[in-house]
Amino acid sequence: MKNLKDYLPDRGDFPPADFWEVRLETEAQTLIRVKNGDVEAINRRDTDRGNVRVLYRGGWGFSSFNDHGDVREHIAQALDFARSVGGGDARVGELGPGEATVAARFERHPREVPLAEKLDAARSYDELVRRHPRVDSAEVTYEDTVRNSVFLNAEGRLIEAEQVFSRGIVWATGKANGVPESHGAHYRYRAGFEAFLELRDEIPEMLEGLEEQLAAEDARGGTCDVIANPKLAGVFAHEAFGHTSEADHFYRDPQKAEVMRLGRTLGSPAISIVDDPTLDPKQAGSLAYDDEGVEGRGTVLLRDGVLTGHLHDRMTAAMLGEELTGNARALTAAYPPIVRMTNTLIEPGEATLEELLREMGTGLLVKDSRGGTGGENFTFSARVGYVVENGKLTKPVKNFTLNGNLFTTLKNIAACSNEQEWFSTAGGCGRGEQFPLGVSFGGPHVWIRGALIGGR
Amino acid sequence: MGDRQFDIYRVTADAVPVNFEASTLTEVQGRTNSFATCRVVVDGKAGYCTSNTLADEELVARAAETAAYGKEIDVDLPGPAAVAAVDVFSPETAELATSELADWGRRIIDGVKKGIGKNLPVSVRLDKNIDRFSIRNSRGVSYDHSSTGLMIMAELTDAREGDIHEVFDVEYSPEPGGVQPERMVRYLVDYYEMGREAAGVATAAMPVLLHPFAVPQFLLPLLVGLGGERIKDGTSPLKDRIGERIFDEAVTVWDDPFWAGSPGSAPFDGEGVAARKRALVERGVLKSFNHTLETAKAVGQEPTGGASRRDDGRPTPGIFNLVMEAGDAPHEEILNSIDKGLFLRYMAGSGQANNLAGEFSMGVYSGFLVERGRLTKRVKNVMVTGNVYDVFGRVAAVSSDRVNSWTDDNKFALMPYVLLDGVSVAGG
Repeated sequence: MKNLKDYLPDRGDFPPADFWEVRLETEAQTLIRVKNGDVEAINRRDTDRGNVRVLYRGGWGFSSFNDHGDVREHIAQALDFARSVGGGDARVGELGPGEATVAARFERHPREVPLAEKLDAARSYDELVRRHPRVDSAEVTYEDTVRNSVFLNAEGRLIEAEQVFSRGIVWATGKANGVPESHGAHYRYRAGFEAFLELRDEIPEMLEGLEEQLAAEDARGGTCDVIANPKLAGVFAHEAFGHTSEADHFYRDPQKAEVMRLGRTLGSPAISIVDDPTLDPKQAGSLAYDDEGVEGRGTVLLRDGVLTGHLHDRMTAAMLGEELTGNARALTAAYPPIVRMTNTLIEPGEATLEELLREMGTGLLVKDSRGGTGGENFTFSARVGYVVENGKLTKPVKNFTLNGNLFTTLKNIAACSNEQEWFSTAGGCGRGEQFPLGVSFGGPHVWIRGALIGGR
Repeated sequence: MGDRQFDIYRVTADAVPVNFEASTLTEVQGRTNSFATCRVVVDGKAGYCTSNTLADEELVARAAETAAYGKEIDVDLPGPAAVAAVDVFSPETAELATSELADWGRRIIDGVKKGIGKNLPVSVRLDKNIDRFSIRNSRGVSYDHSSTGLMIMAELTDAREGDIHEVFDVEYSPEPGGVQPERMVRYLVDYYEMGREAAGVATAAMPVLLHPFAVPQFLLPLLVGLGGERIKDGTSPLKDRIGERIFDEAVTVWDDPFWAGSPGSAPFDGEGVAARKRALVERGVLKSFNHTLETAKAVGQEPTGGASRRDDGRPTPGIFNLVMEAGDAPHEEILNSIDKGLFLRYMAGSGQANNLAGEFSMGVYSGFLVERGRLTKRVKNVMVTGNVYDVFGRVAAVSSDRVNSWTDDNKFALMPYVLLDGVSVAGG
């Protein structure tokens, strides 16, 4: 394999500029998709990419390319782009030099696993799922990615890394009264082939979830108390709150910055949210260094309802005069790093789920999200829910959405349960065209008063 | 070595985004994303390989290695044919300097600030795109196509806790003459002014006028249901319904690969199938599914063109551009006819409900209350729910004017305003 470092330009190749950085990467990927016994797709993908970013008189220029040998001409190109900004006030703070080599985390490297073995595992999951009497259709996706990269910046920060990702999806579809219902077990981890083998253990619970959906009736719309399960709570933490904490959304907008001013009370005392890439190296959002070479670290975003932190890249931290957080991430070297989340979690509270249910009395327990949009006014579609009466789960319901305003909802959080579950889903996070980026999210069961349910 | 067919689809996408964050030009980028994806069918089994580093012969050889494990597919790759010339490459766009894009951005920002008389942040992103496509196959097909695109997205933000008032607009065209920054300024200012006051809505069924940006969001279940894979596996509710009425007769929707205003227009698709203009729904009657070579053959129909090849190799059925036929009355006239209802400019959370069944359940991202024919207030915390086959069965009017729009999967769309009757609206 070629050594990416050999393609790095010398520091003397760079023009005098406020700041520059260069990234080169090469990626190998295997994708397998099995559907109802057929190998629908089996694809190998090899991609080279690189980019140069230059900050010149306060304006950014970025140029990405595919052929590593072209890096020098893209230094000139990025500088041209930065010059065409015509001056500005962008700046980065000091980071300092340093060299690091980051090793990948895996038990079985994808390169060492024969294609036939990957395929056999995918086929066996497809068969297992289709053995269930209520399943009409199954689809299994396997994907592994090995990404080698080298990063160098003007301060002499040099980081070489290998990253190994594993991603798997087992999807099952059945019908209730002729209407299809689907459910899946899936993950995206910083892991080798072993993660896909572990997915097998999640299939029985997924099939139970499908049965739950098939048995559910349509939910009625309206306003009621809800308890969001850890997966939906995590989606809320990520989509609604986390994105709002990304400093590049507000670092130049005084009104938005005032809404997100540190020290403001945004939520009830029952809610605390952290973003932390260091807690568990297996999670898709975990990282040792972000894509600007900043060490990953945890940030408490919300402590007992009070805003205590923002998510930053080097520029937003410098321009707002706050500490670095290591949240600059790029989907691939084809794109510049922007502010992104890592692992975003709601902290557990003290009550058990049973206590929350009892105290709530009447409402809806909402399990999982199938998608949605975040930001200040969010909409998440729920997979399934249970009507809660007298603190007890009664009938399952489906086909509804949970909606609300972020700030109102944060204030309406009554309590969190004492457990915490994490999810590192296959889908990933999208921001602009940079989709899907590996993140994880999670939390406890979260009781929200007076939520808007969109049903029929 | 047995029977072998292959095709290689290449894309080189060059983009130059110019970014104004909160009224400030902060960044100019140049991005190259290229890939070649190869499908090889050896003894009836398909293998795939994608790369931006390998030459054609290596691609074919590596795809052939995976074919040994692949699915048996029955496809006949197309032979050379006369494909229509589709000219959506503008040399003017290709040569447009970044400084000109930046000037447009400044003009939009200055125009909006002047129009609203306030210094609120306006974010503008201007993208210049040059895309090159080619397809080669073992039957001698060898086609090339290039397109240019200019796209401008502008957004004005007035943020307060609990009430963020955002107004956005989008313009695109293959050529510089096709985008109108002045129109964007007018829209941003007008919608900002009309939305200064926000209100909730009581839960009820009411008439809803869809802006062209929202129409494809409502039509998403149709596009999902037309997909050849779902026709083939029988999961689409539309599978046996060609020739049947599925929408109101006011609705005619095309896949139009020849629309001159779209950077997505092309003479051939990702499998080398010649493009043709095709009705998907004509006067409410279902006319055509979207098929790849493989899904078409599996159900004994013709490939339709419109298949896309992403970098995961396998062709997926789809369209070139989504174009809806215009109606009779200007949208202002339709708006005037509404006594009390909603005007929906853009929805949040499309595609979350049971799409295949036609269901939708979406939040309103940008919408207005209509009272006596006028937009009076911006609406907040409002949901609309229903079934597309129900509400598009009761289309009260389609406007004579159309606006450039887009679909959820990033196809370009030319859409009129559509008035629907009796849509369920839930307020918070």
